[in-house]
Amino acid sequence: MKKTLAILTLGTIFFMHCDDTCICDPGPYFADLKVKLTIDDENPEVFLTVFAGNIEDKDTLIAEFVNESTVYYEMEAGRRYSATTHYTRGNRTYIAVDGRKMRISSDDCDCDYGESATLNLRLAD
Amino acid sequence: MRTLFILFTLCLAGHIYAQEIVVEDRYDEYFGIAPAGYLSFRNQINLEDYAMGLEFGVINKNRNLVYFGSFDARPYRKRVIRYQGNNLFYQYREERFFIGAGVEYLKRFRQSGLGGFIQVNPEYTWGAYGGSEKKPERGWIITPRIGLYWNPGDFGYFKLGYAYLDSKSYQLDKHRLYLTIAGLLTKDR
Repeated sequence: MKKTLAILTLGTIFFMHCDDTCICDPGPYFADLKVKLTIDDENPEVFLTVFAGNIEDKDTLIAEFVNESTVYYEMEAGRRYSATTHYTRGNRTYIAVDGRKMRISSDDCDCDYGESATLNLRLAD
Repeated sequence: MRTLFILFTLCLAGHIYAQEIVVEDRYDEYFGIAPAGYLSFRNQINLEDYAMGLEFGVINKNRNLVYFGSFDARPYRKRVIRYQGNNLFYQYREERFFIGAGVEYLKRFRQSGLGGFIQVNPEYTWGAYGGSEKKPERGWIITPRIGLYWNPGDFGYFKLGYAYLDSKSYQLDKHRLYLTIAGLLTKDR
């Protein structure tokens, strides 16, 4: 009898614990958008523009000068983002473009969450 | 009478079963080696680019002719630079895919497990630029491959050779090392 009670108690605690961990956030979901840039002597500061969708959509979300090689923005997941930046190499101008969808994934409890995404605007050597 | 009938039935069943086993064991003698399913994991690489993919098809009874379909992709997004004029360049991150079909001839060197192969693989290639609606060049290409293979047993092949792959990506080298591991889906009898 004592054994049965112990098993029931442990089982109840276990299931309560599991229920506690499986409370899902209804969204919207946010995650980090990481943008990698080339910062060097020729380009100590670059002008970064982040768009919703593709660059041709011209839906500007962020437009600012950046002097760090990696920057993070908290963005809503489930949408596509793109970014551009301008570089100078001698008398040449380079416009780096990248974009991807920030995905929504599910965890073990079948709860959705936003996945971080990286846009790589580093200039080719 | 009933016992006799049961014994007769069992013997007949055993006889049929035994016959099936004999035919199965002597398949080569009656029909020759059967054609086999063929699945290959292949890589095409040079210092500038990499493509990986699958080849799937059938190899004939003589084990010297493979008919296959193929799908390859670049497993990362390659930086490509496009000149727009007036000293302005765009740098995109390009995805690239290939789908095709082809035929391969295998020639074994005497009785060793070594041999040579030659392959022709017409493919359609297309791609996408991350963050842009612009598309990279697409179209039909013909990819020849040639090299050596090693057949260590009746389960498959290792191949090493040369591939001329025109990925239609801007300014990328077309000459590549071809590396593949292939398995026969139907085991030789």
